[in-house]
Amino acid sequence: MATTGLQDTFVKRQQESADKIGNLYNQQYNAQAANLKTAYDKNLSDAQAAQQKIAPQYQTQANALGAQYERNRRNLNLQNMMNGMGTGTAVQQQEALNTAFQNNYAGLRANEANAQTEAGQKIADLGFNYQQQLASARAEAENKKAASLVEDQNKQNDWYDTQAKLLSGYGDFSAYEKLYGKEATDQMKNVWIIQNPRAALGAGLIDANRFREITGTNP
Amino acid sequence: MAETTTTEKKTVQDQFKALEAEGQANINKTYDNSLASQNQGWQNAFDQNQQIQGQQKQAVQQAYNQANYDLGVQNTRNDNNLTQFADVRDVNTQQGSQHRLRLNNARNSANAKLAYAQAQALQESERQAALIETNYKNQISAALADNNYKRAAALMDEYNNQDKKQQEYAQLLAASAGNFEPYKNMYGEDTANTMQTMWNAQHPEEAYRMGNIDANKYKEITGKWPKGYTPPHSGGGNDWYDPSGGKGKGGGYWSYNQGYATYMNNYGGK
Repeated sequence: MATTGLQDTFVKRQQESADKIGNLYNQQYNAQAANLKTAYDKNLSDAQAAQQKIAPQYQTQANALGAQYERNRRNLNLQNMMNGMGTGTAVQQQEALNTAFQNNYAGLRANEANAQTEAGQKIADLGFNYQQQLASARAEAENKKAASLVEDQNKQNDWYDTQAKLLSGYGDFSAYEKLYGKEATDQMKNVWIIQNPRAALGAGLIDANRFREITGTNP
Repeated sequence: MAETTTTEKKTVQDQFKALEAEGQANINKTYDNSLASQNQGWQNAFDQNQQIQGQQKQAVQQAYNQANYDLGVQNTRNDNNLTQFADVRDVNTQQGSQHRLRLNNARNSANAKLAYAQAQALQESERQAALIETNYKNQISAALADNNYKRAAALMDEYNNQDKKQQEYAQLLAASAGNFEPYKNMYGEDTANTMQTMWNAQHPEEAYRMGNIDANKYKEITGKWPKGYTPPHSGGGNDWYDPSGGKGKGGGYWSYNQGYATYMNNYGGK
């Protein structure tokens, strides 16, 4: 039956078209994802290189601080001995030196940990941003794909209507059965037969009796 | 397109409703799929971000653990230095304990400074984790809202499109089959009947053959009898249009229903 052919073609066209649209937007998304990945990898590499510099930088400062402390301690001891400083005063000075050093050292280590934290957070932020951009790109692609699929559905339906109209010109109204149902389609067909009895007879849609009945003449 | 089985009788209106429902179902399915895919994308991002944030929190812990360790080593070193110094200087017990107390205070102060920084860093890490979750929930809500908005717009377009299509279908059906059933729904029965009457008048041949009008009406419109029809009391005719209902020749007209029923019985609409 003609409808089956048209219907099959229609379903096939719908599927092919939907696949094409899906592939198109998937390709676009994949290309965008690849660009985002390239940018992320570059940024990550830069950030990791910056992070790796933190520990040596602070170790250098800690070493300098330690060396300075040691120098100060020795100087103080030497000066105290030379000046004959009393035990109590010398110890107090030693304490002050230690306290200052400890505070400086703690500050240095806290700053280093802060710097590590910030660098780590920057790397994490790059990851967040990358994931966010990926998901956004996917959402955008999905939105466009959905709109495109809906638009395509209308185009496919229009195509079906056009084909149905074309077939009806040849007395085949079977495609309209999908639009109007069988009863109304039979009516359309009968009107066409009445208007085109010779063509209907030639196509085997009516017999000679029906032809005679319509035209009042023999075929 | 909606499926129609030959055994199931559906009106044109039923068909139109089925088409409309199918169009809407397709749109809903398309937007459901779109939303599911978008949500999956946001879910992936959330999972990845949570993992990243977890690693970052661990890195913060490690950085401060290291700092605490370094400071502890330094504290011990200072402690030893002071002890050594006190021993050398022969500091007495009372003085020694005062020095030790002050040393401990200094150490506590330094530890506190680091602990405060650590707490702040961890707090920031927790804040970031909360932000990720809030962001994820916001994105899901935004995706849903956006999807609903676009879906509603698409359904509205579909509604308008179907409306336009159904008008076209109704026009086509009316023009090619003289079937004005869809117009009953659009304009009301009286108007549709008027349209039907007008079509019959413009297409008397088709209207007569389709059983929409009888021979009298045909003659009234065209001024002549239909082809193949034997007028009453003419002495001719055949059994197809026998006005006596198939029991004899002549003697009155068939009703509209009788004529149409006989036509359908003989030819089955072919």
